Amino acid sequence: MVEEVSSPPTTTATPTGLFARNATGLVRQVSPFSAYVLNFIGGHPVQPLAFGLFFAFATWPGGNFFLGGLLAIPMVLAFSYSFGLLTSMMPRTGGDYTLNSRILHPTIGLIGSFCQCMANFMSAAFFGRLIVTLGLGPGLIGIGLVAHDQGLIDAGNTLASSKVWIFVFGTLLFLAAAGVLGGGWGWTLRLQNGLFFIVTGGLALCAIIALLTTQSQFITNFNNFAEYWTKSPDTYHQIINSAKQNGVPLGAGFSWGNTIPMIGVFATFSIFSWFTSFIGGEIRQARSIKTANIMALSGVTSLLAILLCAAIFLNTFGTDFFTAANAPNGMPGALNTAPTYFFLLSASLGSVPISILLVGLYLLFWPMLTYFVFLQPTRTMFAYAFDGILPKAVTNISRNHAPYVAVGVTFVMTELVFLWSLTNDSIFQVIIYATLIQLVSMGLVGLSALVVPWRRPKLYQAAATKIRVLGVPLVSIAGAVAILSAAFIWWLFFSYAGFGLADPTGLFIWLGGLIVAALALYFVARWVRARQGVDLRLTYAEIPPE
Amino acid sequence: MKLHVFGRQATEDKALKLFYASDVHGSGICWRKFVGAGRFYGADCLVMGGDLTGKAIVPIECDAFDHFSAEFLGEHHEGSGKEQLGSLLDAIRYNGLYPWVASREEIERHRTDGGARDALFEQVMLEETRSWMRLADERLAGSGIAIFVMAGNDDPWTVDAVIAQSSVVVSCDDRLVRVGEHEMISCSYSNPTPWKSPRELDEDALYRHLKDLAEQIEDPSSAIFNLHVPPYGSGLDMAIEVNPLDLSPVHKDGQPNVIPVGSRAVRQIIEEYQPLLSLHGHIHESRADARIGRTLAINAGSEYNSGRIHGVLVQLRRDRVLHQYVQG
Repeated sequence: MVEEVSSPPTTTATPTGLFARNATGLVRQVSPFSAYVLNFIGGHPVQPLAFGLFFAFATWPGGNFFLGGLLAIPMVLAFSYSFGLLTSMMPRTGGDYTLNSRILHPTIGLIGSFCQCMANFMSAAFFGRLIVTLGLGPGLIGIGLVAHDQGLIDAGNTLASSKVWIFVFGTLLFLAAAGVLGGGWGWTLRLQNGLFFIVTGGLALCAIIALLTTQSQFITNFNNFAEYWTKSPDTYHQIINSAKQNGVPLGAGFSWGNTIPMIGVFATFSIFSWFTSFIGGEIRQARSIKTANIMALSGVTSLLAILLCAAIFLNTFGTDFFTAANAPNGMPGALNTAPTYFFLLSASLGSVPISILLVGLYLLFWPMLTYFVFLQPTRTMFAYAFDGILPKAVTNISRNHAPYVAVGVTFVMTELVFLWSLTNDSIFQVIIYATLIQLVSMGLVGLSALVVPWRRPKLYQAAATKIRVLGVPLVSIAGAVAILSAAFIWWLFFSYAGFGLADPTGLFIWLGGLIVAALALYFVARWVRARQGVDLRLTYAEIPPE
Repeated sequence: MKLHVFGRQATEDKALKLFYASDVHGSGICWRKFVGAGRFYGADCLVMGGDLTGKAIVPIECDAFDHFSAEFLGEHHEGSGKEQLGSLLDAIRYNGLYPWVASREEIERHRTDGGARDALFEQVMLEETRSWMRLADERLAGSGIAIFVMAGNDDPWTVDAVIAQSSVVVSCDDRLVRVGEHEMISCSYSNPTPWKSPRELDEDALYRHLKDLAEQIEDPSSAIFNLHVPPYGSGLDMAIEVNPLDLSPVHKDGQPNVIPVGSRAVRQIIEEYQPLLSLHGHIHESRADARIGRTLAINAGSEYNSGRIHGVLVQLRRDRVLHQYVQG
């Protein structure tokens, strides 16, 4: 005789129209808000506003910055809906690898995900350098300038120019990112959202300070601050005049030709709002259109936030001044630091505590961004291991369910790429490679989106996100535009020297190497598994239902 | 005691190849794939770990002029004609839900009358399960592929009789059967859940129940446990904590709290008997494997509403086991 603790099944009529019965339910962990935050991080305005955006004024004079940003929105939407709609059809771990391997071919999935992994290792390596060269170093210099402390300025210069210190702090950054992922998913999401609020709050504080400061106030304040160092009563206009003498075109009329690369500049920051694809199986209501809408919302709002903050800062600092300061050697030698928005605001306020606060809030951005790029390789390695491509040990988790092996491998790989990046004099070459390599993977997802209604008709027909526009599947439209967008950005990098692609041969060597490595892993794994009696092809194969 | 012997005999040279899946929850496409998995993967036997029946009915309001409308996955669908209706029916079934076409009055009556709704569920679940068993009979008769099926904690008890009526499907719940040269016990019960599903036992009762089953095994070292609920704290049982009062997720520091929800009784029985293999389902999102002593425990997971059947291919020798996750 057994003791049953349950009552007989009962049913309910739900508000959504369904009749449901008592049955165990699957509750997914990642809320829409956490998904929004995760997707937002890649295009968080702090990164482009602090560096990487305003060089474009001097590089492509007459290019309309705001028009360029708005024209990047279709690309943001194309990638968001390609990844989002496919993820809602197959809400699993693994992102592009899972999507491409199931829709196109396992080898395509591996090639794309190898590109994705390497792009993220390179991005993390880039961030490891930037946290020192555009974070700690200039931060200390900036605080030192405001505080009139030569010791801090010297320390900042030493940090920014020493590869040893860059290695040390870069490694600490990677450890911090691993720590965010190392405490289990609940811990990760708490830290992710906490960092997001702090960093975004720091940016909002800067925007409010800028809004409350008129341009004339800023000029007066900045000149008062700078006079101590430059011995000039009008450093503000000196910076502008000096730029003019150096050939920096200020106040150029509108140029459509120079607006086109502006689109690319925004795209390099804003088309990565689909990282919840890597945790597709853990998002609430993952099978609904919400998955794609959240990606699109993250991408578009981050881009609009960049434009809004840029407008505020340009209004306060003055476009000519900001362009001149961000041009090569734009800042006077006595003010040898990056003209970031938070430095300029600190200088304007002349307050050491606020300077420390703004630098501190800015520095917290880096572990958040590095965690973001660490997430993809760890999740992809999980998907590889479940498919039998990598050993099962990769999926080992700690007592608090942290994927310590996958995180450890990601850390080691990032360190190796970081060491390689330190041998490359141009740190931007690393991120250019990362961007272009990642676009290969994103273009392949676009291809999956384009063909899924025909390659996997049943999957498409049954999807809640089966939407047609003028009779054409929305997912196919998104896929086609995503492919064109990826090709367009590649064309920009090869056509406009201002993007800094100095060594295309090196790029193709990396790309070729990744393709060979992906194919080698697939066929070696197949051979090894075959010796164990396992046919790896069955992992990807779909059983004919009829 | 005489054992029921099914499946091909494993030899020293050839391992027994078993395909395990669970929690298809009314997905007809997953069931068809499960039945086809034997030939597709070259498996000697198929084991279904429970939770066959769906969780919800989608009422489709249809008028005398063949116009229909329904709310499905948060979207409003409407159309007319057999072709459009057929397309909606397929999409609903693909997602593991039962479509039910009726007049507005009938739907309204079932919305307000709990008894009528319960009877409707019973009717559609049993009809669907009968059609599944017929399909298995047609496809697997004479194939040499053994098929073992049990219900799970979410299935009503009436399903068992339908499974038992099949000519090829072995209804294996709550008994010892032989799979090749391996003995297998099966149990559809789970420990208590916040949903108060049809088959639940408290941990003490579940342990005694499992113990009675395990005691029938002659050689635990080569045995298979087919227990719907996974062992507690094994990593196969991680799910979000749910408030039993309103079934809402429990949050800690702003995030849903993930906890082990498996059965301590199942864990204890595995630790005591140390079978070769222990197969589990129940927690769809916790697809994983773990060693508990010498026992390999596997939760195949489930995404029944994606049209892909999550399963695991297991090659069993007398004292060795090799597994491969597949999504067919």
